[in-house]
Amino acid sequence: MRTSLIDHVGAARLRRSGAVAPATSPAWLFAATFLGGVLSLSVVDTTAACAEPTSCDITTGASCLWGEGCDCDHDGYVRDTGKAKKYCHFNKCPIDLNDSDANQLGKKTADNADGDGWTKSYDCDDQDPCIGKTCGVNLCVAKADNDKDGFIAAEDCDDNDPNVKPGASIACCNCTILTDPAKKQAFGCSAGCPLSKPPKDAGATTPDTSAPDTGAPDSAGLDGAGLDGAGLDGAGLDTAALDTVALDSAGPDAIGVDGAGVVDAGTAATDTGAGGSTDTVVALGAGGGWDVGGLDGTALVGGGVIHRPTAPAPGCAASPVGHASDVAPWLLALVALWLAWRRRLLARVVVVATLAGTLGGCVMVKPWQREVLAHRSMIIGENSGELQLEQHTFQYREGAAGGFGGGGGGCGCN
Amino acid sequence: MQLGRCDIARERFVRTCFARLPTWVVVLLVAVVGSPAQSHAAESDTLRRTTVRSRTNYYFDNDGNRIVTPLVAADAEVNKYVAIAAHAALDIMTCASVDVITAATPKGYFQETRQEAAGSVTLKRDLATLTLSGTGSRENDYGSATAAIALSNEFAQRNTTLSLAYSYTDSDIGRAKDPNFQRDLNSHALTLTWTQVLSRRWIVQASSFSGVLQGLQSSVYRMVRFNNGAASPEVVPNLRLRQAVALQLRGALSRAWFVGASYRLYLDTWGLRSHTMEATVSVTPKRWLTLRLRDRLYLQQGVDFYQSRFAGPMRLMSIDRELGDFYGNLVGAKAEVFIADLGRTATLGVDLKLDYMRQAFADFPWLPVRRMWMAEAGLRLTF
Repeated sequence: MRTSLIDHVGAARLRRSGAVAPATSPAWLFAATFLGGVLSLSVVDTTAACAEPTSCDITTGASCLWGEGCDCDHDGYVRDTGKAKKYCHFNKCPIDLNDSDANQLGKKTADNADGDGWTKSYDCDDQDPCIGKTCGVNLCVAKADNDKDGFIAAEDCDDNDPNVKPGASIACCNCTILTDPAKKQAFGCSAGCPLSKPPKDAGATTPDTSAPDTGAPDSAGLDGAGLDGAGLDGAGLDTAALDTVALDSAGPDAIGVDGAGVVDAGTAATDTGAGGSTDTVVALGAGGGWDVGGLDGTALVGGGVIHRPTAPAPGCAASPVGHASDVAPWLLALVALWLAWRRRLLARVVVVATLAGTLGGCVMVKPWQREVLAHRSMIIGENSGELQLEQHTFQYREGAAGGFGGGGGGCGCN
Repeated sequence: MQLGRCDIARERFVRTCFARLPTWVVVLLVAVVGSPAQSHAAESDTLRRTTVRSRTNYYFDNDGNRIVTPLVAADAEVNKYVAIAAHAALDIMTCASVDVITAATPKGYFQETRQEAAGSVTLKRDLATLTLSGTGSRENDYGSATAAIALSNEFAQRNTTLSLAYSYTDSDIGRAKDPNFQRDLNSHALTLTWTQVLSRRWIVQASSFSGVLQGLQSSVYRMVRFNNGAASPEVVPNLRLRQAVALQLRGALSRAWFVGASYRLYLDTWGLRSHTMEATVSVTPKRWLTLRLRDRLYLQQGVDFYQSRFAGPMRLMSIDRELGDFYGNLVGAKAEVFIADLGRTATLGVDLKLDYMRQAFADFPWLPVRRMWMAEAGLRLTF
């Protein structure tokens, strides 16, 4: 009877004298983990990306999911409702028109009469929205976009030609390429921008002469603004499509900021080449507040003045879990190693060392990136009373006890 | 089973047990709740929180057991560096289990209440937290006192948390209608926990538990029955070394969907080995509502000296079915309503949980399958 019961639950190898059988670990546990990792790849961070510098020193959105937090859209403007009244710094932070939409910025208040990003304690002229912290600098001029290509003068290497802009799909109109001498040469941009105008897509029979594309995609007429720029040339010409997913992952983003790859979505041309170290253009573009938190080094965009550049931890660039949200497959591989390698002790030493070496030193999720982690469902040990009663129940009805430790994670803002 | 006897009516029992709640527990709870209010007046610019919780669990099974467990708790931040907490709980049991009914329970059932009270002080400094706590529990034939210390520190920009906790429990075991019976049971427990943020959507926790139990660990009521009809007290080792390792993973599939998985391996020197696995899925369809489903599987390989019936006396003998081979499966649902903007800064959480657990024992012919239902309601107010 004993054997039949144990067999019934799929643990035939569970015997008094036998070793713990890996087969007793249910496949669904790992399948669910794997599925979770795959699904998480499709999650899109909806944080908008049009923030500019403000005098605000609060960017946390850790608790915004349930009504706490000051700057939930991370645009440098805070809300003045609910608990925000309790602890948001209104002397420094301008009030937001809509704290769920980063495209809707400040409203005029007594502390911010001109409605710009600077409260009167910091604003050189609180009656002129074009004057901010620095007297004499007209922000409205700097923000002009003469060619209406979506990039202001400070960002655009030619603000009079809409074909020339950061992220343009043709090499010679891409500001990043043009500012990189090696790539200028490789792509034949000898004359510099904007003399090499973007060739129009000539159709199926026109060869690509402006880039060293030699593969099949070009021969099918996919040059021009289409697939050519999407990584098929193999030269690391990142454009909107690939930049957001692949090439972002190896560079300074390794500290976890651009984790899902979506924050940089609007700033395609920035990560030049695999593992590139330059997010500098991103900072001026629409990269959103997160880049400012240590990647770009410019501190010009996003939440504001407190986010100083922070170097990634040494060695983190090579971490397989440096920032990606798809850690589940990686964990699955470690679990498989743990269970399948016949030399158990060695396998476990390798797994533990790998976990300690990579996770402990390289994963750097900032407090203002913990909005999801701070959700009640994500906090281990969040409801202590419930856990206490539950463990009490199990303790008296099962032979085992202990093993589940303390809390951790959460918003990281205490 | 730390169960004794109680021979008064249940209703009267509840009233009596509540009345017995130690005065100092009430004082402590009031102090915890009241202290932040005074602090707020002193430093209005610093946000400090006070949380008051209340939970009630109702358990019943097809083994004749009904247990009501109310719990009240409060915790508060006294200032930036100090937090205090306290809780009090009762186990109000009405039991007619075939496993514990003895000649000492002439009515065929017994009623009893266990009282528990605890308090703790937490000291915070930068990324480190030190918690000192004490717990007292008593029933008519069992009393215990626990002292615990826990140290926690965050590393790597708060992405890594390491915790080390130690507790010592001193238990005094008595026997109903036998005032001269007195035994001791001492327990040491050490738990090391590593919590790691993996990304913006994933978090993992690994923990190791080591425990030592020394003293009387058999039931003072349960008797081993032999084939010839004779009976003898249970005999189990006085020393039990326990070890468990656990891994928990939580992930967010989106801003509304969350998954969790955990696994625990438990071993001890009595030869008991178990695997515990749990998977959860949570969804937050509305900002104020969270729903959770879960399944928990427990597999146990029992100790060598467990048998439902013995042919004759042996050096070690136990008929405690919870030391035998069995498996259990729990399925449960939970709904939680969370109101964040209550009175500007207060939050209110109300949850309702319903669990069903089934245990199938490999060698316990008197009750091969135990079915358990647990309903629980909780209330949490933070201000």
